Formats: sequence, C-alpha cells, structure tokens
Amino acid sequence: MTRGGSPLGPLLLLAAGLVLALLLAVGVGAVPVPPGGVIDALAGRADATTRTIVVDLRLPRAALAVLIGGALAVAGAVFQALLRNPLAEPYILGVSGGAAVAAVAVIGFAGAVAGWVVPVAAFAGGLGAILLVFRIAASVGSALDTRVLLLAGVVVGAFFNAVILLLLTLADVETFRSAVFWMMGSLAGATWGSVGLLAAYTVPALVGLLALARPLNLMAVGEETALYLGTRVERVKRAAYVVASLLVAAGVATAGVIGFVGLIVPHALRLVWGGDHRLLLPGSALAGAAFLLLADTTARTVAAPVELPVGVVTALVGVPVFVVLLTRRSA
Amino acid sequence: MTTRSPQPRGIRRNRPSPLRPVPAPTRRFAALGLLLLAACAPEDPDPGTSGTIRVTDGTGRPVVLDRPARRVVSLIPATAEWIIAMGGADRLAARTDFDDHPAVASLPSVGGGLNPSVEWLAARRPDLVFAWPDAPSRSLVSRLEDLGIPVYTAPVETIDEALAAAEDVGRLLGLESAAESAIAGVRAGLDSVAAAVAGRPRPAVLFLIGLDPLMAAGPGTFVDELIARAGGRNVLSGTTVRWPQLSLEEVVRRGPAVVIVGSAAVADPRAQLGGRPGWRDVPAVRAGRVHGVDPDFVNRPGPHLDEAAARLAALIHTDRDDPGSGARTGIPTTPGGSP
Repeated sequence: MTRGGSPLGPLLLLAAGLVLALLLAVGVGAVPVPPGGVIDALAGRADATTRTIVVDLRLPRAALAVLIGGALAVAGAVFQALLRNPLAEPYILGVSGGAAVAAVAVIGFAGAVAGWVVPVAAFAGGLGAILLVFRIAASVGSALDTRVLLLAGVVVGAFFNAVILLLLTLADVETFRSAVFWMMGSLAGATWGSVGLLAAYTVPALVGLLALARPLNLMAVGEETALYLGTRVERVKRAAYVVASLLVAAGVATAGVIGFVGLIVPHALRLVWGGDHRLLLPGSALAGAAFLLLADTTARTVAAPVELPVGVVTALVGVPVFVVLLTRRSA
Repeated sequence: MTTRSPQPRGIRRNRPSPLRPVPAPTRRFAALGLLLLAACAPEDPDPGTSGTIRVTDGTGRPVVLDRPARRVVSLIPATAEWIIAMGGADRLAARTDFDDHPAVASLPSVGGGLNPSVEWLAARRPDLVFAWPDAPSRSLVSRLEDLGIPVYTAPVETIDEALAAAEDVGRLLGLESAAESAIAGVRAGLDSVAAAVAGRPRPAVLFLIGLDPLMAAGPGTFVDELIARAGGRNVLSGTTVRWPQLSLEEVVRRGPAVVIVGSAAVADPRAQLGGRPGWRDVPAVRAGRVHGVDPDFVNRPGPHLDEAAARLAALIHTDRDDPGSGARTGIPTTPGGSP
C-alpha cells in the first residue's frame, strides 16, 4: 500500500497474480497437454487420460496449494504479529513436530491402517503439541507472555525432533522411507475429498483471522496500547493463537511440513506495502496461495517425471527473492 | 488363489520363525493346479480370453484384473527383471533409471521410481503398476488406485517373498508357466550353489550396503539367506534388525573373516577399509578378504538370485583374492537350471 490508502489496489494485483498462477498450475505438468486439451478436459470433452490428468490430478492439487499456501502465509503473519517476532513462522509453536511424531509413530507402529488414519493422527499430534506449549506458557504467568510462549514452542519442538530422530533410527528401511517422504511435505496426495475437507475447515478459519486485522494492528504497536484503545488483548490473542494453530495443524496433517511460505510471504508483503494487517492478512492469503502454486508447479515440472519436494522449491526460490527484497529495501 | 495375510508394516523385529505365513506347499499346490490348467489349455493362451485374475499382494490388498495386464509399469527394478525374464519385456510401458536391461533401454524412464509424477504415470495408460510399499497417507498406491489403475505392491525381504511375488507377477501378466520355470530355475540354481559348498567350513561374512554410515545386511533379509546358501555365516546372525547401522566397535568384536561391500558409492572397498583406523584389526581386512560386488546384481531380489549366490560363494570360499578363482573352487558361476 500506499500506506494508509485503500488496500484494494494491491489486493486486486495479488488476486490477478493468483489467477495467473492457477492457470499455469492447471496448464503445465509432467505430461504436455495443449491449452485446447485443458479446456476440453474441463468441459468434459477430452479423452479419459487427459481428463484424469487435468480434472483428477492437476485441479485438486492446485486447489490444495491455494488452501495450504494461503493458510500458511496468513498463519505466519498472525504469529509474527502476536509474538512480535519477525522470525515467527507457522510451525514455531511445535505444531509440525507434534504432527510428525504422531504420523511417524502411526507409519512405523500401527501396521496397515486406512488412509485417513495418518492425517487424523497428525492433526491430533499437532493439537497435542499446541496444548502442551500453551500449558507450559500458562503455568509461568497468569497472562500469556509471548516470550515464554516462544521459548515453550522452541523447546517442545526440539523435544519432538529428538523423538522423531529416535523413531527413525529404530525404524526399518521401509518405515524410514515412508516417514521421510511424509515429513518432506508434498501436495501430491491431493484428492477432491481431502481438498473439500480441508476447505470446509480452512475457509472459515481464514475468514475469522482476517476479521482480527484491526486488533492485530493495535497489538503490533504494543499490548498495553491496544488495551488502552479498547482491545480485549487476552481474548484476541487466545483466539488468534488457537485458530492459526488449528489452521496449520490441518495443513500439516494433509500435506506435511512445507517451510518458508509462512515466513517469506508476509515479510515480502510488509516490505512492499507496509504492515497494515487489513492489507497484510488478505494479501498474505492471496500471495501465499500464488507462491505455493508456483512452487508446486515448479516441483512437478522441473525434474519431471520425478517430483521434487515442494519445500525444497519454496526455500530455493523464496529465500533469494526475499533477500533481494530485503537488501533493496534497506539500500 | 494366492493368499498371503497382511504383513505387519513398520518397525518390525525379525523372528527366527519363517516370515511367510502361508506354507510353501499351499503355493506349490496352487502352482501345480495352474500348470495342469495350462496343460489343458492351448499352448499360448491369448491374454484376452482368460477370466478375472485375483491376487492378494504382499500388503494384503486385493489386486483384481479383468484380463492379464498388457501395459505394465514397474517402479521396482527387481520386478521389471522378473517380467523380462518371463518374456514380458514388451508389456513394459516405462522403466526406472535403475533398469539397465537392454530390452527396456528404449523405454521412457520415470526416474528413480520412489517419487514419480502421478500424471506422467497415468499418461502411460498402464493397466497395472508395480510400486514400492508406501505410507498409508498421501500414498502413490492409493492415488493410482483412485484413478482406477490397479497397483501391486509387496514388501520383499526374503527369497521366499521374492519368489512368491514373482509368482504373482506371472499370474497378473498371464505368464504363469514362464514364471514357474523362471522360479524353478532360481530354486535349482540356489540348490546347486548350496550343494557345491556343502561340508565346507562356513566363514563369518559381513555384507555392507554402505560405509558412511556403516549399514549391513542383518538376518531376515534375502542377502542373509544368500550368504547362507553361499556357504557363509552372517556375522550378524542372532541380532534383530534387518538392515542395522553398525558401529566399528561391533564389527571389530564380531571379527568377520570376509567383508563384502555392495554399494555403488564405494569404488575400491579394500583400499577404503584398509586405510581406516580400526579396520586394520578386522580379520577380513588383514587377510585382504574385502570384496566389492555390483549392488544391482546382488542387492536386487530378481531372477538372478541364484547367480548372486554363486558370486557370493566364489568370494566366500576363495583363499586368495583372484577374480577367476571361483572356477577353481568348483562352484558354478552360472548355475544350471536357468531357463
């Protein structure tokens, strides 16, 4: 923004970028399908294989990228505001560690299980980690102290990492491979079913977080100031933490841990348009979705028919872009 | 009907009991029935005329085909080799980077086979895919099944499991008799290797699949069984992990008389290990009995298992390091019985 101006212009720009990224994601893949073929497939006229590729594989995968990219970026922006820490990212409160411990344990110990068991276990593990972190933080003071919360998140995360390494060391080759693939994060498992389930959950949570833009603006100034200006700081904090954490837990359960989206996207937007959450939050949703779409399209095509882990692409592409933005800004 | 109860996934401890739940006679009986059927049927039955094929794969999933598979993608090199050995190379619609057989060299490669593009696979229009067992979540197997592509997957650890999977491959491709003769050939080859080394002393063998970190073939693996057939004794027998990571201390304590390294990453294992402190005191290193083997040859439970056993026997029962000495030990390097 046009600091203080209308957020509409930047948001329209980001929305246009998202539409372009969507078109690219549906149009490009390991198998070349001409634009006419893509349109035919969408209209139900193409042959079975083309229809399968476009409608059953690329579209749900693109939809999953939009949901998870948007959710991670918004959660990142919210955590950075709440913790007033620029290094905060969606997994900072141990969600990914808790989810991964549960997922690896199920993959390694539970025997043959139905496909839904691992995501459900991962979600429960993520929730468990969040509860543990809040429990630790709450036992230190009456109000949620952000520094204590941050520390609790870091140590719980480190503990879970140790548990994961322990499980992997004891695991056989097959479990090891499955678990490592699970943890690398991937959108390859997207089905219309999983997308629908995640959307039913993510969209209301995102809308809820977007509604917190004004109190988050005030809290970014300082919790005391926000309190004086009539914000019920504790309630906003709790609601934002819980909703953002649930959002991240659902994303991890569906697609594993995908790094850097929640860190880079909100910061890039702040560098370009400033820190007003009325723009930052919806902007993060749009830009995070577009960024993950582009990253996943790259992951699917660059080494085709081998797929790269999408987290590798988000880091390899995102970090240099971010550094350029950062140095330009300070120059 | 092939029936195998689901294998427990995950962190498995090996038991001394046989790992295959269904006794071999059941299988042999089924195979006999098939042979009888084949004997009554025309010489080379047209794949389109047979009825529904039902097979339970190594993870307990049913695999049902309306007719023998004609376009097949195998992400597992050993399975691709079995298919080629059964004369089904023309059914393969893709290969992996590890498939080096000339019969499939011209096919497009899916890459390493562990993380392939689903849309690329779907575009090959296979009517059957052989895939590695994977996690129940975000799994390639379930993803392909969602698209209506049948998938066969089997966690192959032992020779019996490899041969059982090969039998399933034969059924799924309608190549039962070719499968039977390939499997019989491997069994006969293994038996002749075992017979050639019978009565000899059994040196302690350590089979390494990697040096950094040290990873070895433990009990319950087909490599362990190959060592036994080849007249060796796995130094890790009595332990519990299939592919354990070892400490050098453990190696020194167990003192293998022969070390065999099956790793593409290690060019000259004798020089490498001989130059490492600690290894100099290992009997195998002192005696110069450290050997490298082609991992694609020995580490793959394919139709060359018998030749792999012969190769190991030659290495285990050679007093001096001489690549040609296998012949002098009287161990057949190309076992008979192969089709």
